[in-house]
Amino acid sequence: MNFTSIRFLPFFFLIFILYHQIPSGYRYLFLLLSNILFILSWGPGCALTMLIIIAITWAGAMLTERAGEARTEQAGESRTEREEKARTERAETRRKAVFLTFLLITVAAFFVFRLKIGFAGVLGSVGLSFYSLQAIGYMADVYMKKTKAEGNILKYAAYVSFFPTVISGPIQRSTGLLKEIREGTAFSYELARTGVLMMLSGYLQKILIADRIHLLIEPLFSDIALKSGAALLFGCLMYGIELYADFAGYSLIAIGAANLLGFRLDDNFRRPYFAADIRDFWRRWHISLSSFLRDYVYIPLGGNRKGTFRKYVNLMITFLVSGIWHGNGFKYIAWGILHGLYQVAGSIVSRGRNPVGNSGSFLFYRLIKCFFTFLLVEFGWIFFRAGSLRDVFLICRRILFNFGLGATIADGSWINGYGMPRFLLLAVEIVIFFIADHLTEKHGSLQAVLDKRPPVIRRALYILAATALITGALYNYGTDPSTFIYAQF
Amino acid sequence: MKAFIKRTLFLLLILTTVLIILDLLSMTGPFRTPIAKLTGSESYISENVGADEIRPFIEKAAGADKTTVLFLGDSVCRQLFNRQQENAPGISMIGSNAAITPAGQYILAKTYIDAHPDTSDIFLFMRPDSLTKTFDTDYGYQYTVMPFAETGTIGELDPDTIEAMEKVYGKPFMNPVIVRMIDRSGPDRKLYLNLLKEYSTPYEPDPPLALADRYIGKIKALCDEKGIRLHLHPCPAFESGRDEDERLRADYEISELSRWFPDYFEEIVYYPDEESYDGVHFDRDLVKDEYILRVIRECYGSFLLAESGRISLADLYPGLYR
Repeated sequence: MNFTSIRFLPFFFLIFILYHQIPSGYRYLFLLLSNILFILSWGPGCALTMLIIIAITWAGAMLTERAGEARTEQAGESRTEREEKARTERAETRRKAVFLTFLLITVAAFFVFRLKIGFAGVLGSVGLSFYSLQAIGYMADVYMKKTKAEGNILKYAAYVSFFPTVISGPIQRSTGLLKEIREGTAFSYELARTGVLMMLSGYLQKILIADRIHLLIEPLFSDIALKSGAALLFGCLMYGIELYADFAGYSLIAIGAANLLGFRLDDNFRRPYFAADIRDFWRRWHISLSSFLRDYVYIPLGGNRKGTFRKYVNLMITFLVSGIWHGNGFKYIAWGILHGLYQVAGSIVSRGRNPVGNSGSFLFYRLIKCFFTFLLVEFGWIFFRAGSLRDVFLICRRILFNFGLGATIADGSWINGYGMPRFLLLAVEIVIFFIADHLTEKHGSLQAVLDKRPPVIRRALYILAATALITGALYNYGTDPSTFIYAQF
Repeated sequence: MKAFIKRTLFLLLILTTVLIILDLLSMTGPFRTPIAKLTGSESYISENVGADEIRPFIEKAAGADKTTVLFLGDSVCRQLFNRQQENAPGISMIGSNAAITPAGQYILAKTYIDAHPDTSDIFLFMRPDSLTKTFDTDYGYQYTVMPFAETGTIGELDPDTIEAMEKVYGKPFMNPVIVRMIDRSGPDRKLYLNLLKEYSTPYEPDPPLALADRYIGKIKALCDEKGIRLHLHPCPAFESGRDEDERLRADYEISELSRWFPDYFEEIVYYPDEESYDGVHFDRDLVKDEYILRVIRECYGSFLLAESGRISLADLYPGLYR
């Protein structure tokens, strides 16, 4: 079951109704049960893998904290200052050793399942990346004393396996979601309303944009040696939009579903293609991963506190980790290195200047920068979409030396039998998507824009959007729309 | 919470009303094609597969005419014989499609016998593979439910067969009103057929020829009761299908059919693959009268003359012996 499967909405509706009928002290148990049912729909291998990760990280966090508590107890005893300091250092070392041991075990388990070795097989790897990061982040938070270790393993399991975010994030922090699970949530009309709008918006992005682009460009990337550079360039540009609509759509559905259950999750995307430079892009794209890497990789490495050279090295390492996390294969490592280089180059270029993308920038200047950033990011997506690093070079070579624009337009190979009316419909949908993003960028949220309209107009728009969504879903149904792309990472 | 549920239900009610209106419009003349295009379901109504293809055969079987012989069978039978109808006034040629299954062939035979009390012979021309067809989730609904439910003839089937069909297709979707809605509306047809493929499982009788045994057996019993001769003959086949036919022979040999028609597999005439466009049907470019008549003569010449006192190729195609 995923968010676009027919079974999901009745499943979620039932959970939404029942969840709010249960006394708040027991809701986490019902949430855990819902999570288990959701995960079991991916197969028992997936549930078992998750169980192992949960058990390792829960024990890791408890033991890490306990190692620190031992130090506190001993501090009560009468010791000299020197003895006390030595004892503290030993306890810290022990705490660090426990944390690092469990971190290594978790990472090893992650790679074992990632490489699809062992009993979990393919199902075991579904969504593994996201909840593994969430679990690792929790252990790190306990180690860094940002949060207390959760003594109730069921509450912790409900946090790690939280079904709206388990497949593709957004990656949750112990200071956010876990805190809400601990404290319990209450129904909020406004939050629920926001949740419904977010889910509707997410489904529109996924079904009307991402799935349709997928059908358009999929044939373009088969037999790339036979495709013209122009057709491949068009495919790459569309892939960037597909990836965004797909992943941002997923995130909106996940956040909306969480909102309906009373949880407040942070945005995962903030109009990334409006970014004026690469640094800005990473503040807007997959925010939960970017901030995770910043807090748990970049800053622990020293961040920008140890001089310019170390900062560049740290940036490269952080993006290398990001590349490795995204998948097996050199193409992901190359993609990570590319973004690391973008960051370093961006830092060098912008040294001594104000951060780019200020609202005070001239519109035209900003537009050029946005476009240039978009092209850089799009170049990076070639690494994502191509089958291998060799294919990346082949695509680039064909774009540079076998462009063939005239012939591509004449023979219609760029839309590959998709049909001009369907393409025009898709183009209109992309423009509407862009306008909606623009309004959100300008007013903070689409809901704020809609709330200024009279209720009748607002409701008519909701009905229109829902009707478009249902007809669009029916349009795609029976073809082969993509499942969520990011579920594979 | 109550206010939220109330408002959400209100919006859902409006949305449902809008969708019902759109659905009803999708079955209606001027809106049918535009709504089908909007939902990507135009091929589901324009290609007219299923009900529209089979309904004329049911009507033809039920129609009062002076024929006394019935030719029934799959799409290869149709390719061979239906186009020769004008040359054979005494024979009703309603070769249709394997997808209607032997159960569908039984309904056609029963309908014909009821409307033609003087019936003397029924010829059933089917490929071995056609004998194995059951209620599947690819074409089964369009071919075995739609035409027969819409014409009210589906009741000719045994109650346990209807029950098996209901398990595959869902009881409400066997109701003639619902069937007609699905038949008329592109989006409904697309949605239902895709859901069926995704969530249902085909009927798999054990042994594989159980459905053929049952319904060709029923045709035989009906024929015996009325003094009608029943003949089962294989359609011509192509070399690439020989291995598959051999595999099916094993199933055939343990079926009732082999008792009634022991020479069925021996009669199969194989043609080179070059004469077919899909390994099953004759190449469309080759299917000219002269070629088809040659094939008929090669495959059925002797026994058409031998088995029936009143039927001969000369009767069938007088032009051939002119």
